[in-house]
Amino acid sequence: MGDNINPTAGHDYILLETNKLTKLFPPVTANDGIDFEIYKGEIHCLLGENGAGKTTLAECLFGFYTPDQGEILWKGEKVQINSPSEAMKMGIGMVHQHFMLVDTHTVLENILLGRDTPGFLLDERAARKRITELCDQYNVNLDPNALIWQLSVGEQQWVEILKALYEGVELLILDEPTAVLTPHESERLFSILKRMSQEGLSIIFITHKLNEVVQVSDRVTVLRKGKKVGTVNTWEVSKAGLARMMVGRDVVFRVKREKIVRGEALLELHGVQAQNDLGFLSVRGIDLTLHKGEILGIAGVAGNGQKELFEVLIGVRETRKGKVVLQGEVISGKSAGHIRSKGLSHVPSDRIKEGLVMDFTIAENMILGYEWSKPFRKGLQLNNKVIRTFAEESMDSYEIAAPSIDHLTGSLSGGNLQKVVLAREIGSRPSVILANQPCRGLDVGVIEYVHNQFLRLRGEGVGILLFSEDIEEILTLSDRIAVIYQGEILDVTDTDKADIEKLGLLMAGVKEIQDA
Amino acid sequence: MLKAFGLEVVKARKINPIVQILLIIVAVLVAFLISGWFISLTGGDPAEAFTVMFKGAFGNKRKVLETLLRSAPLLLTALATVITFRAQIWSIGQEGQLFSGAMFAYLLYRIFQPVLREGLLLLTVVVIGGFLGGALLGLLSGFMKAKFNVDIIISTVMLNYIVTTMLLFLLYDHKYWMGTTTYYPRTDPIAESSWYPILTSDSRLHMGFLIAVGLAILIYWILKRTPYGYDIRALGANPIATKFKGINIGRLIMITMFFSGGLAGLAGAGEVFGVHHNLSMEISPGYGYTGIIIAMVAELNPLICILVSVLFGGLINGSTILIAATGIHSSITFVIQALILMSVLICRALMKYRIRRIAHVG
Repeated sequence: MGDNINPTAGHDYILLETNKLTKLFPPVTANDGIDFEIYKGEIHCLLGENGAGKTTLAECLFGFYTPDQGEILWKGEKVQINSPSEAMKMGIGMVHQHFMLVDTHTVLENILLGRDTPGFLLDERAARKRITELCDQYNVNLDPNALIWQLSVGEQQWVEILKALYEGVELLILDEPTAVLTPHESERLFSILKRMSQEGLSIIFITHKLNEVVQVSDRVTVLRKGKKVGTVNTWEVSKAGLARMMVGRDVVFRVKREKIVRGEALLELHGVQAQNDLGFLSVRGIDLTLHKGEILGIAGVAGNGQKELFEVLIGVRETRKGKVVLQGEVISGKSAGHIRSKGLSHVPSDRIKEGLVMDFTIAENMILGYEWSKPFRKGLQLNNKVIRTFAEESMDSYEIAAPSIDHLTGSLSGGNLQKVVLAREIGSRPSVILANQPCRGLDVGVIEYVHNQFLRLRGEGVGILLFSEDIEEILTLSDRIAVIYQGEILDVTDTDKADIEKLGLLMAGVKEIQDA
Repeated sequence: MLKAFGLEVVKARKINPIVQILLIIVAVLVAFLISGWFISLTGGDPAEAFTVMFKGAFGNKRKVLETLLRSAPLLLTALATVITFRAQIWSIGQEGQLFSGAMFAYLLYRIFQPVLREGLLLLTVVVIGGFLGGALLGLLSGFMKAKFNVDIIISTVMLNYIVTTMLLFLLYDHKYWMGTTTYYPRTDPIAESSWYPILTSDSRLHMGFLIAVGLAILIYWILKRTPYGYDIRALGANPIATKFKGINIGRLIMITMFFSGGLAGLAGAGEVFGVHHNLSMEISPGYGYTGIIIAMVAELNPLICILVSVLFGGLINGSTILIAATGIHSSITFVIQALILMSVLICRALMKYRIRRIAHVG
């Protein structure tokens, strides 16, 4: 934090400015009269909770959306940016949360894709030379001829960044770039971004993680519910101050985790193997035991077999080898319905696709999977009275913000959607809960709420298997931490003895630390 | 693409349900308007044609009852469509299931008639036969989907051809099915004592109509109020979440295809035992396919299906005397049906979205 540069020194040239920028998605005002400016060569964080309007603002600058009111000034001149390609031509590049790459093409082809090139043929040699130069300049190791699907997520992100640099942009927008990176990769990204900014590139860095703001930015603009709360110099504020600006109240950062005596084994995995959708072995022999009253964190970067392991355990993916035992009964090979009825509930990573039916009412979603179980069924019929009471009680106790239980689920925000899932999964009184990235994309306030729910359940003797990419979350909640890398558990440690440095390296697949 | 013209598509605000219904009615009227234009293109007089059609369909009590009679098989095949399409199981097999229901009902009739003679028991056997004939064919497609992931559209369409062509073959070439009293490809007539009971003495309207309406109400209740209906809607709205939550999708598809086929099969039995009193290719002028259109127009709502079935039944009946009265060929019915479907679908899309000008900066 100490080495941040004072923006007033040498950063006086305003590259981009917005004036009362407003974007409406009726009935929501996504951006409400936002004024802010980007200096040349600064790293400017856009901080805010989910739904605060960060991405919308960026998409307006990138020409993806057209603002309803207000103006954008680029180098002091009023401009109208109608499309991303116009933005690129002006010198604005953006790396989205979801990469816009063609999987079956090479790095080089992706970088050249969609560019206006003089003549019919691509000058591949010159392009390759330029890409190699850029890679060398920033110490990035990337083969221009590699196919995208062969690359790690971190490398794919580099392709996106290179694409913008190749175009020669002056302003680079990064939308939550660290969401897909290991702590180690994030560190590297930060140091490279700093170098880029020193060389004159302006960077807008969208995030909801306070640590990153402090680590990387020169200035930060905080948004809340579509409105700008303020712009401050990063070196002048504290994390707590930023958090207060972001949520409008004080946030407790550490949840209290009381020591609990670990009970008997609930869920045992013996040499579990499974294939991914492409038929590759992506879970390669996992042995684990989850105990009563324990939160076992599975730390790892996405794509290392978590999704497949999760699906094996809930019974929707075939176990190729090994067995899973739930409270003494072998459940591998059993149907998802059977496993659920044995007291294993789950919070899937993608709540919209895997956890909820968006066209259903909140009440209907509260019983998804339990519609045949009593008391929700009475004879041939659904027992609406019981269902409604259950839904209403859950809405109250989980503080789900919706007009009524008959409201369509699709209109809820991400945090409230997750609360519906939790209310249902916890309401079924499970003995084991599997949670895959339960807090991804949630607001600080909701995350705190989810964490407290898990700790409460742990206190009641429920075993929780928590898959997460967020090392902070794992450290906060887990009793023990298992690191998964390429389908194998590299190490299991007690959280008290865990070393964050070592965990980060393990997540990146480095097993032995060499003493330098 | 629209952006180039300064336009964008956005979700529309919720429209008042009454306004929605009015707009749908306007859409149907627009379809008739365009049909009228087609009629005038062929040199006919649209006003005269529509008057003749309306009179033919709803002109007097007998005509109304005839229209209701015609709507019975349409309603059943529409209901067969509703339960599958609600689950996003794209079954196009209603026509084949209608015929296999008719065939199975006829087969059971031939087997049991010598024993049971007549009466309620034989009638029950016939109705169950009709249901099972269609249901088993539907189950076959459902089974192939669940066990071998054979596409439902492909298997049902192929089975339509197999079943209808097989019936034709039997009617021409198989002693058991070939009629002994006629050279037409049709079976011997059903004994009058085994016909479906008539509801009113002065018409042909038979109990099949009541069965169909009763089933429409039953299916409405099933979809809304039972766990099975819940599963159908869940599968249709989000198959992945349905699978993740442990609902046995293969079994659900098989059960749904079984019932869907059964509904279409009942339509076939009704035509044989209630209308034609023999089995031939003529029992369905494509009721199975028309049922799909009706279900779509009715937005897959079983109760609205009743209304739309009567409308479409009226269209068919009204057109039968069209050529004699005005010289316009009755195939205009299919034009009208298709136009109604398209204009209602377009109307619904327009109610959900709207196009607006992009506000410009400055």
